[in-house]
This record gives sequence, C-alpha cells and structure tokens, in this order.
Amino acid sequence: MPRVSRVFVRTALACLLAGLAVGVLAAWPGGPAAGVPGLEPVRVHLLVVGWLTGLVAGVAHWLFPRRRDGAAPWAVYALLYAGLVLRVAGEPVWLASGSDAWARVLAASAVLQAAALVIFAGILWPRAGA
Amino acid sequence: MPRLSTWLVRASLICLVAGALLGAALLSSPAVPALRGLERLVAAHVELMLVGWLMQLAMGVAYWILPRAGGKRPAGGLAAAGAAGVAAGLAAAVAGTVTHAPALVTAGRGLEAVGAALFGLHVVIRLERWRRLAAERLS
Repeated sequence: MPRVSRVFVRTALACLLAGLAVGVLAAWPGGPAAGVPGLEPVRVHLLVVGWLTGLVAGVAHWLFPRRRDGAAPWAVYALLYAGLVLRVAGEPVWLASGSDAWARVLAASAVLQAAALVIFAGILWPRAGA
Repeated sequence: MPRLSTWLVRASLICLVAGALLGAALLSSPAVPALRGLERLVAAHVELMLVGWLMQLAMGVAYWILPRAGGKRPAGGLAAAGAAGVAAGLAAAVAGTVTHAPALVTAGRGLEAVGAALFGLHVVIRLERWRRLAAERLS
C-alpha cells in the first residue's frame, strides 16, 4: 500500500473516533460540551468527509489502476484535512459568536475542501477508465 | 475495470464535485452575501454526497471487485438496471429538492430504492454462484 494511502487511512480512522466522540458529547445532556452549538454538523462532516471520503481516497489511490499522479494525492490530503480542521474549529465558534472573521474561516474551509475534492475527482477520472 | 464500473465511478465523481461545490457555497454563505438563501439546497447537497457519491462509488467498485464464479460475472442486466434506477432516482430527487416538488423527491427516492434492490439482487446471485462453485471444488 503506498505511503499516502496509509496516511489517508490512519487519518480517516482518527476522524472516525473523533466523529463518534463528538456524537457522544452532542447527545450528553449537561455534559462538558452542553450548550456548544453546531456539534451535529461537525459530527456528520467528521464522519462523511474525514472518515468515509478520506478512507475512499486512500483506498482508491491504492486499488485503482496505477498512473503517475505525482504529488497530487498529497495535495488532496493536505487540502481536505486542513479544510476539515478549520470547519471543526470554526463552525461552533461562528455559531456562538456570529463573527465575520469566523465566517471567513468557514469560507476558507469550504474552498480548501472543494479544491481537494475537485483535484481528487481529476486524479480518479482517468484511472476509472483504465 | 468493466464498463459499468467505469460509468458508475465516473457518475459518482461528477456527483462528488457537484455536491462539494454546493456544500462549499452553503458553508461560505455567512461570509458571502450573494450566496445567502441557499439553505433550501442542503437536502440536494446531502442527496448528491450520500447517494450520488458514496452509493454509486460503492456499486461501481462492488461490480468490479466482488468474486466471479469461474472468472465470469453474471449477465450485467440486473446490475445495469439497478445503476440506471439509482441514477434516474437521484436526478429526480435532486430536481425535486431544488424545485420544491415533494412528490418528485418521493418518486426519486423510491426509484433509488428499487435501483439499489436490483443491484443487490445481482450481488446476491453473484455471491451465491461463487459459493456453489467453491463448494463444488472443495467436495
């Protein structure tokens, strides 16, 4: 398995655990995160983007017919998880404060994740036809 | 990779890009006034990412990689019909959420379920044939 795939899979597993932990916190009345807004979308995106999509990206890079992709898979990794970290940190803070600065952090997170997924689709498209 | 898998994986990639761009617009809307009012498209974003991206990708990879009895896949009619049902249902469900047509969303999701059931039947038949052949070889 290529190194980038191993890194994707390990990070995806970390996101799975983080998503499940956030799910517990979101459902814990009077718990340490009681009153923190936006935990539900954070949980869903940790599981769907961080876990499932990261796992798919790692396994697809390993499994699909090979092609020279250079550093592009690493760029997908860096953009996807940087965007996810910004979202996980930014969404509860923005919902609590309504600050314009944190709204811009969320917009940056959106651009990073969308860029990652567009590059990923561009990598996988020719490999799916091989 | 068989042609049906190529179509399914590429359809899933189109949905991934569409769903990611729509999601990016939704997440950017607090910072970009021109994007405000898109909240009604959250359901379309979810449909594109869960059914369009993850489900079609799983179907494409499953058709490619699940065991084949004697090295041959069963005739692909059931799997292709299932894939077509999912794709048509997805298009109807997304169109229904965008145009506020609940009946279209219901019909689309029903078609997705029928498509998934047909594809599932293909998988069950394929695995059963493989299991029988493996049992014959062992006996």
